[in-house]
This record gives sequence, structure tokens and C-alpha cells, in this order.
Amino acid sequence: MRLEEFLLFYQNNLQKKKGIKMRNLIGNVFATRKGIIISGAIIGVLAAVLQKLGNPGNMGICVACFTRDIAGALGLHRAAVVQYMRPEIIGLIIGATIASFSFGEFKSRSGSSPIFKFFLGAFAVVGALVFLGCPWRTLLRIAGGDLNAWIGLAGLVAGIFIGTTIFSMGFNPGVAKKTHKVLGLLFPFATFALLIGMFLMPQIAGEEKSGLFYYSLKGPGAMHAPLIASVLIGLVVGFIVQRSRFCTIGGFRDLILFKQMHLLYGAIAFIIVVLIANLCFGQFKLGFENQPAAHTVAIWNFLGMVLAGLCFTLGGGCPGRQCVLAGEGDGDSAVFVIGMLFGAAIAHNWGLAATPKGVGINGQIAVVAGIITVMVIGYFMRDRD
Amino acid sequence: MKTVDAKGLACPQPIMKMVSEMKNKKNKELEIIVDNATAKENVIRTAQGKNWRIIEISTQDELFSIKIKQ
Repeated sequence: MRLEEFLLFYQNNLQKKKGIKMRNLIGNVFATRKGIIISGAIIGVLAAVLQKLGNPGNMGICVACFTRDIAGALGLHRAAVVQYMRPEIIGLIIGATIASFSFGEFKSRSGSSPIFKFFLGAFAVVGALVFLGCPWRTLLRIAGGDLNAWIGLAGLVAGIFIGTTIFSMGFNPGVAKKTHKVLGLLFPFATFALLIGMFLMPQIAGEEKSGLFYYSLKGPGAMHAPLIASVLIGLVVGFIVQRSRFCTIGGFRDLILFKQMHLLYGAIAFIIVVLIANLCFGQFKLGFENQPAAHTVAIWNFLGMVLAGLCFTLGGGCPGRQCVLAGEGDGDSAVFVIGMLFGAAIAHNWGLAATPKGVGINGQIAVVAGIITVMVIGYFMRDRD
Repeated sequence: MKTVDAKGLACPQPIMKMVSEMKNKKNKELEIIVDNATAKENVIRTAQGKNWRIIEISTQDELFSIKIKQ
């Protein structure tokens, strides 16, 4: 008898007779309520530790910021202060590959509107870089006392709300089909190659380039935890996110659509633990002004995250989750991540990204144009029945 | 028993399809077919949350079938 069958039998027979408490039929401890709470808490602790080990302020792990740094490390943009092949992201992807293989969940699939996923990824990062943070960093900033992040969070929830409305209108990106195993492995292997590259071409003190990769000499790109620590923590986070399905977008989305709190418990645990860790490490500073890698222009903090929330919702999950899905063999999520890389490069080359001083006119236009474009495309991608 | 085919769909579509069928008063029993473990867990969690009983969970050819009853 398989585990699932046993649990089903157990619930339907023994439970009624003996009044035993309802057992969970899900058969994955990470996906229970306790599981998601503990997962969120562990990811939070690790994010705080990464910041303690040298990552920038309230940026233990930020998928948008780190994708931007990777774009810089590859020479895709010219912002010298944000160039580093963030090993956390590589770890996140490969950790998910390891977890999915260990539990028989690796599955190569693709074909659910990949070109739209590419643009969603690009627009999402533009929005996130106007606010200066992905949904994970929004929570990290809140837990670090940055009050601007509450405005970003409000924008994120508004964006998710628009996204769920488009879903409710019948938005359908189409069915992903099973495909050759090697295709699903392509993206994890490509990221693994970059990791090997980091060991072969490590940063040379005082040099901006080592082998193929660019490194920052100052600014956020120069602030990073030791390579080994970043890789290992990234792997653990990738493993946990794969098992628990931790997703910050999913948390709010499921609450709006299904009145379900499950994933949100993970996000709440994440904030609380980071808050405690920040207080312990002396990293907590309450206020709007002079927050690390942040600006105080409320309207663009809000609208930037409206765009990000909308794109992540239509894309099926937060950026951390997209990396994990890409690691599990989802080709469309891999395209989404590559779209994020492209969006991050363009965001700096075209001056769309915010600076601590605020958001330039190009960034403002990009956010408004992005919100309209994505809503219109989403509207036309609905099933009419 | 009505079958909800949610193969190849990403979050939140499988649950949206399932919930919309659950709202239809004619459906007392449903079979939901998904192709990944995340969706399977979500189906079970949502069904239990809405007080539907899970009557069968089976796996075949990398597909999960979850039968639920009101």
C-alpha cells in the first residue's frame, strides 16, 4: 500500500472510529502549515545571515537585485557598481534541481506562452528596480524598519489584485507540454557552468574584470558574503522553496482568489524571523530616510511594485519561485528568468532603475507603459467561453 | 463524476478550475487531474479547506488523479 493510500484509509476509517485528529493527506511535510511556517522562518534566518556575512543592507537575498548584479557580471549593462555573479541565485536554481530529483518531481515541460513569460520577466524586474527590490526584499526591507517598503508592499498587493482579476476574466497562458529531459536540464546546467566559472575566475583585488566576469570595486556589487557561504545558503534555500512551494506572490494571490492563508503563513514567518534577527544583529533601523538601497518617492515605490506584482502573478509566481521552477525543469520559468536578466540590463542601460535619489522620467514612463502593456496583453489572452 | 483536466497548467489555474466546478451545485463528486505534485497538494488542501472529502488519490503515468466528494 502506498503512503497516500494508507493516509486515505487512515482518515476514512480509523479517524471516524477513534476520533483521531485529521491527518494530512498531502504526504509532504514541507507543504503542511507547520512545514511552510518553518520553511519561511529558515529562509528568513538565512537571508539575515547573508546580510551579516557581507551582502548589502536588507538584501540578504533579493532576486531582482541579484539578477541585476548578474547582468552586470556578464557585462550586459554598464553600471559599474552593480556587477557580481551572485551565487545565491545559482544555488537557488541548482538547489531546486537537487530537491526535485531527490523527490521524483523533476519534470521537463514548456510551451505555456514563453514569449509572454520573457516580457513578463523583463517588465517585472523593471518594476522591481523602480522600487528597488523583489517581493522577498520588500519583506526584508519591512523587517529592517524601512517604512518605504510598506508602500511597495501595498503596490505589490494592488498588482497581484489586478493580476488575479485578469485571471478571473479568463486569462489563459496555455498548457505546458512534457518535453525531453535534456531541455529541462539545460538551464540548471547553464547556471552550474557559471558557478564553475566563478571558481575558475574569482575576483582579483582591485581589478574590475577577471576572466569572463565583471566585478564591482565599490557600491552594492562589491558587498557580498564569501562565495562558499553564498552558494551553500542558496542551495539550501532552493531546496526548501522547492519542497515547501514557498511563494510570496502566491501568498497574497491565494488569499485574494481562494481566501487561503497557507502560503502567506510562510511569508509572515519570514518577516517575523528576519525582524528578530535584525534586532539581534543590530541591523534594524526604523524610518523613511537614509534606508539602504531605497528611495522615498512614494508614488513610484507603489507603482513600480504594481507592475512587478502584476507580472509575477500572471507569470505564476514570485521571482524566487520562478528560479526554483526553472531548476525543476520548467522551460517557461527559465525563459521568465532570462527575461528578468534582460529587463535588469535594459533597466540600467536606459536609466529606468531608481537610485537612492529617486526615479527618473524614463523609469516613470517604463512603469506606466509596462502596466498598460501587460494588462492589455493579458486581456487579449483570455479564453472566451 | 465530472472530471477537471488541469494538466500542464501553472498556479493558480488548476485551483481556479476546480473551485469553479465546486461552485456548480450539480457537482457532488469531482475528479481533478493534475501533472505535478504542487498542484496535487493544492487540490487536496483546497478541498479539505472547503470541507469536501478526499475519496481517492491515485498516480498513473506521471499524472495525479484526486477524487473528491461534497
